[in-house]
Amino acid sequence: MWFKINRIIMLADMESFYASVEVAKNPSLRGKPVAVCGDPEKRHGIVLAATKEAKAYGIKTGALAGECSRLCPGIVLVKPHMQDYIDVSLKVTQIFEKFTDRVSPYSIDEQFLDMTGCENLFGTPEEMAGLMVKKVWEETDIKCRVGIGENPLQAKMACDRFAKKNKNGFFRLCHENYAQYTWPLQIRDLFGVGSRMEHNFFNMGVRTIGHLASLPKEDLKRRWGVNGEVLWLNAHGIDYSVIEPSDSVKDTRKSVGHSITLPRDYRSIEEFQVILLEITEEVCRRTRSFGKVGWVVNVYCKSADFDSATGFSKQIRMSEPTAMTMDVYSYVLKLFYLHWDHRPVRAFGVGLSGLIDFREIQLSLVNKKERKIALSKAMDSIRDRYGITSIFRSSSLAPGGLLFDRATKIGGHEA
Amino acid sequence: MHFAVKRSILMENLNIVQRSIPLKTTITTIQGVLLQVKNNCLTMISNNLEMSIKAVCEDIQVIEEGRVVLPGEIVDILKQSPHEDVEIKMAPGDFRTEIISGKANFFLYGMDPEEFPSFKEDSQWRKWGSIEFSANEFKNILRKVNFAVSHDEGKPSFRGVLFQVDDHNNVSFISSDTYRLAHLNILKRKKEIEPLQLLIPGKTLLEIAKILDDSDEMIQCYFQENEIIFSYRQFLFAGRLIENKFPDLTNVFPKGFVTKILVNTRVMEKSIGRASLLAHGYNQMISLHIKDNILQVKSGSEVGRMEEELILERKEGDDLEEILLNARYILDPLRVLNDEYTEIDFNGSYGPCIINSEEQIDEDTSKYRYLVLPIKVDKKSI
Repeated sequence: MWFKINRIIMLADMESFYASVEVAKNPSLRGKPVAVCGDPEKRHGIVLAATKEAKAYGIKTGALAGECSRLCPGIVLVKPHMQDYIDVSLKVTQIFEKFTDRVSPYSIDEQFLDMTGCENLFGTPEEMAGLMVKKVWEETDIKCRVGIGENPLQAKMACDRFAKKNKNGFFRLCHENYAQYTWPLQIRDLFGVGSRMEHNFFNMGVRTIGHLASLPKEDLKRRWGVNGEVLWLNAHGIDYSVIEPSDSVKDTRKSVGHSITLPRDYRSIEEFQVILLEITEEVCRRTRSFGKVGWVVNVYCKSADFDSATGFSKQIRMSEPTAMTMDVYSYVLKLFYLHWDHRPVRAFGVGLSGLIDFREIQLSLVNKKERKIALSKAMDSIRDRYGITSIFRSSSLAPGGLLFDRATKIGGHEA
Repeated sequence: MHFAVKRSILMENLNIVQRSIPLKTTITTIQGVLLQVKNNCLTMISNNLEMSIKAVCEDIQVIEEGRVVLPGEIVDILKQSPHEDVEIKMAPGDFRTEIISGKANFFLYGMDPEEFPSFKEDSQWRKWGSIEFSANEFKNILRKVNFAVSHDEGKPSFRGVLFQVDDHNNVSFISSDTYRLAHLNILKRKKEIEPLQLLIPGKTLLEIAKILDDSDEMIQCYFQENEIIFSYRQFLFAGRLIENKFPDLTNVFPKGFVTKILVNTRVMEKSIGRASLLAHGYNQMISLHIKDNILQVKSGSEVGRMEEELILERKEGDDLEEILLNARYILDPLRVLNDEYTEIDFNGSYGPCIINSEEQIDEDTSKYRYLVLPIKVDKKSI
């Protein structure tokens, strides 16, 4: 191609996000080892985030709460406040939206930005990144690090591997310097390489990203299919994906899902029925809120045995697309009874996919479809206005119901 | 077991029997056809746990009696066998069976017939309640109700045809998939039958409809509690009656109508067929409009749209602004109607649409009513 625009893609990552928010809320914690961790009694007792002072003691995300006090006797343990984290994350998005309209949250503490064409407004990519780090610090008291690249992959690699270690908080990769910086890195440092692929590569004698880059693409494709090809492209810093503006997510979504890790292992059919109905209701309510109905229902179930975690994730196509809770629920139960191995259950999930716009109803002789739809609509609007516990199925009061427990939480943690 | 037979004779029977060989099942013992040679007769049985088909053939040359279950491949083997003369011979003791035709030799690993579910003995079901129809009459009945049977496993009560005889010898067949309903009524049938109510699985009737011809040969139906057996020529079809109750839907037909039209059946059938090519979405939606004596048929999807105007033979009542229907639901009944003209009632955009027809079969009058509910669309969003 004789003419090519070099895109400017950035990945902004919030340092020790949950812990930083807690410190920002309570400045007396600044400089102290702080860890955010869930309630040890309810199985959420693991570290979700730790400040760099705490990390210096060897405390890692995922460690048990008890272990923290042992490693670092003076540590301050803070309960998570999920609503605060969401609020701060949204605030950061708003800050970024002052730079560009193409902001795409990647996770609660990572956001992609497409800054192509903003050079005349904010200067060089490095100047833009510096400005963003400064703005976020000024407005939220949180340190952010920015990876700069020509595509999302380069930005992610720049952020994770270099910006985090860089004093000024940003780093830039481009196709000219990608090999120079990344090829000496260990293979596990490549985006997309997990412990299993690392093991596979080790067996092939691939130790560094450079080793992988030097292999023929066709070999990798033959061995691991598309995934092999993608990793090879990653090793070369090639990525064709684009950053879409964030509000386009709602219209293009193809599935809705929800899963819950239970506060204790469930053993009885009655409890399964109660919680599966609650999850189904949540999935259907969200599907309805997008104005969609789904063809395919998926049930995920993980059994409680730690040593040999068993479970299943199975799906079925319904006879007609729907987002009516009880219609979907009958398929959920069918799938569950068919595949459950009779062991206690630790986690459940329900998903609805094959979503299409809900615009037409084939009227039916028997099940009063229109009335059911009107009822769901009424219940949804009551919940939207007064909260999910304002109107609920009475089964949620039975043993196994988690509605009231969940109503005060976000992502399984205190709001 | 050892016998010789003409390929065409065997195929004539196996082509029917193979229809209830299970396609996918974990029970290996029923994955095939039971062949049994006894008293100069060859009996063939298949069973997919929903339905069992049995055929008896006397046109064979028996060398040695015996029985074996052969895998479903036997049907294709015979289909492609090089010679009309076929010899089937089971090795004593291990169910290995040799199929010899011309110079081709096949060995099939047969299975133990003791594990195969048995077919009810003739002496048992011959004593059950029974009713009979001529092949052409029954075929005509099935053609009109079979298509409306539901295939949705979530609606067990609708997966069959309700066969009913009341105290006045009115015989009716009803089927519905909850979106439409087909109702065939033979008023005061000349041949007396006991009052009864059977919900017959749609799949069994579908297979039976395939083998019925337009002859006057009789098809007998025997029933008892939850079982039913049809006997036609050398074939027996056994099924389980559906135990769920078919809901009473007799009151779904409205008393009057808002719009009544009379239209040429074949012309309308072809026009709806054309509209269905561009029908919209999984509901196969097309729209109908009636103004004065013109019926307008319209459809449109992502690929394009069409419209066509038909001149009505007659129209009573109001014009019809618009009704949205599943093209297939209106095409199915038009296809099976033999009358030159068809009467269709409409009850506004969201009311049921009804097709009426009357036919003389032998000395009986059969009344056919078909109802379909429209599709409701919210222009904004529902």
